Amino acid sequence: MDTSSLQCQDLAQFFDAHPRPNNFAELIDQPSGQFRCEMQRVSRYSTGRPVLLEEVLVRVIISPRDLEKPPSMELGESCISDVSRLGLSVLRRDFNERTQQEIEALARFLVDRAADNLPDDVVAECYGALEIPCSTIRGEPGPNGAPRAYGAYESPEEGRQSHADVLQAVSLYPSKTKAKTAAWNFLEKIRGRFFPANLYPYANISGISMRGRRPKA
Amino acid sequence: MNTALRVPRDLYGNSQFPATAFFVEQAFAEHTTAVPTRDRASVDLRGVEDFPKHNAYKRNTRAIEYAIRDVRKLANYASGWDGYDAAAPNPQAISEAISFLEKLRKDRAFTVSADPDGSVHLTAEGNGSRVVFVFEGSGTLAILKRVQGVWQDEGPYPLTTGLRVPAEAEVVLQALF
Repeated sequence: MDTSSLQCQDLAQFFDAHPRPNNFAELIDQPSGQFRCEMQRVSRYSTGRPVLLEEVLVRVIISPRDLEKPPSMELGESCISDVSRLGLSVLRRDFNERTQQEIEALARFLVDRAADNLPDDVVAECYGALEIPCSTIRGEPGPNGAPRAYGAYESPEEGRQSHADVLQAVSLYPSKTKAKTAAWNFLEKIRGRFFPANLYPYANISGISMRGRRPKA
Repeated sequence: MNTALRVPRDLYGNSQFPATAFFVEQAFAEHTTAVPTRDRASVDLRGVEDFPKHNAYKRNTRAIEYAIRDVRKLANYASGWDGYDAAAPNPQAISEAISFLEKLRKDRAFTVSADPDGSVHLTAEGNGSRVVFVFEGSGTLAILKRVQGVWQDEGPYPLTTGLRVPAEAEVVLQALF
């Protein structure tokens, strides 16, 4: 589907859709690598405050952990995979005075939702938070001399005013695997800004876990 | 020991039921391939390495079995398993990952994980490198390798139905150890 001729506000049909189409990042990335609607309203819940360069975006990471195994010590690459598919869902850390509560509420919501979809020998737990400076997102170059590879869009949701999405310009890459490789390299640059849940200074997301509730097939 | 073939013998080793022993030996002779004695002595068991199913019994640890068990567990993940909108692990990707593990000729420790896009990841580390084998359920294997903090796409390789994993996968794994 060609979305390059749509008005930015018309992209709300994709941003606000639930679930979003699997090729969401590709739909928004038209024309490729231009991020033409990044500073526009793209959600019907928009507050009219686009994500600014000096902002910090927070990705709350939920990880399934096998009950028989010790917790993993390293942040897995898959935590950033959504950037090239459905959009990396993040919260704007300094958006307003309620963001801290929004981060905590989001962590509890995500753990609860994950538990619904995991078997009972697996625990869904809040693994931590990855902070991504918007300047790093917008400063990351694309392949073959393209000036940018990632964009950050204001996309508030019901009950989450500080919500935003980070999207990769997937069409700049010749294959899905190349796009994934680029996303993993981007993660290497921001890996140092990952905080395990018990060490995250901005919000209390420590100790949030829930055993899976899904009956085994 | 196969007790069904035990023939009572006297103190001197002679069968107490010569006719029975004769028939047992005849039955064996009819249903087995005759191998000349001199050839039997020269059988080279090192060739067993070429047959993964036999090779499984020669492994020193159960790392591969544990990895296969972990991959099978992913079938119980439903979409939304990461709290966001992760796709459920693709059944074909699970099948491909298990087949890959079964065919590996040497024991390896893998970390098994699901990706929100539905693919299955097998991760191995060593010698300062990290390698992720990505199974998307499309009949190809993607190999991503991190060396000195930089990920490289080692290219997609077709997964065949033969007894071997793609040669490139063996080469990449060999370099880790």
